[in-house]
Amino acid sequence: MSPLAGHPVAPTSAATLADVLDRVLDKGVVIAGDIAIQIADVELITIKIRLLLASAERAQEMGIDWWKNDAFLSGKARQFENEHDALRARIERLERQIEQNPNEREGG
Amino acid sequence: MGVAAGGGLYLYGVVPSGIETPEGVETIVQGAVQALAARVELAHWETPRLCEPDVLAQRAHHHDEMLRSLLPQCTPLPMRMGTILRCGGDVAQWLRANYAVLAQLLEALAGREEWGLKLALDASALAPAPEPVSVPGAGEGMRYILRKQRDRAVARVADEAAQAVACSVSEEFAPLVERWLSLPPRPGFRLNEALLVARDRASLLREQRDAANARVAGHGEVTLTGPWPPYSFVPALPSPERP
Repeated sequence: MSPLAGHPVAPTSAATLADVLDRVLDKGVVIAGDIAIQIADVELITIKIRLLLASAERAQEMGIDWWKNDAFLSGKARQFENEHDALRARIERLERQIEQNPNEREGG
Repeated sequence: MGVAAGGGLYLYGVVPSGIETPEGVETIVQGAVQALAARVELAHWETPRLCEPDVLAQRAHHHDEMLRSLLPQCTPLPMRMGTILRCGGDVAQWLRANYAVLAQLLEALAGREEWGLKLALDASALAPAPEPVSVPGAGEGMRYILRKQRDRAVARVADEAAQAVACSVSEEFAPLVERWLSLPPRPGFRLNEALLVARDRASLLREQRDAANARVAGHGEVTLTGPWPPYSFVPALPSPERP
């Protein structure tokens, strides 16, 4: 089914996929009411999407690489970020050691 | 309008009755409002498929493009992507139950569009030049600590300067905006905002962007996205009740 076939749409200037996802996944009119989850399979699917793909941030936490070409959001970038955090913590520990006893380090 | 087992009605949004709708879209009319829908196979909307980046991107763009195609005619109330009801009867029931709110929202948002405002800033370009560390008699360890303290102070000043630029840009846009909402922060961006703006102010908005860009040239860029349907400015509404 392609309701948009042959229907030209002007491009949204400077918008990225993340801009689109921020809006269509997490905004818009929401047919709310968790009771729907008990009622019919159709609503259940909608609720699943809401719960699992609630927002770009949530997806990032889940490790979904929607923007696989985006370095920041790729899995590799997260690995680098973890290493970066570990290195920063190590440097801060070393700095505290030096601050507490700088002469010992310089003389050693 | 019935839908066979295994199928459903995907809702794009709600518009005033009488709006010309794109080919292939079904309408469910209730007084002065009508819902725009398309028949879908539920199997195409299972969560594992949506977790495939290409599938999700295609669906998201399709949903958005459908709604944006209506902007020249009206301001649609966009449904959140993935809103599927079982049949036309459910849609009609939902329209009836929320008729007053939907009609009021359509009227309140008529002639208005959502715009995205993003400000990317290179805070390091706003940082003061670091003073050289020179302490007579200090050892290498002490000089290292002093350099770190100096760098932190410089970074703090740069961050404050960047924040001031962001505030200034926000204030410049504020007179053009009816409602304002901050979206989740983005890496590298000081501002990621949703603005509700009257359609006849779009050109002023672009002029303001150009003026702001001239001011932040060299260390930042102001970007507008849109116009969008007012995704960020519509509320949650109750689900249709089933007997």
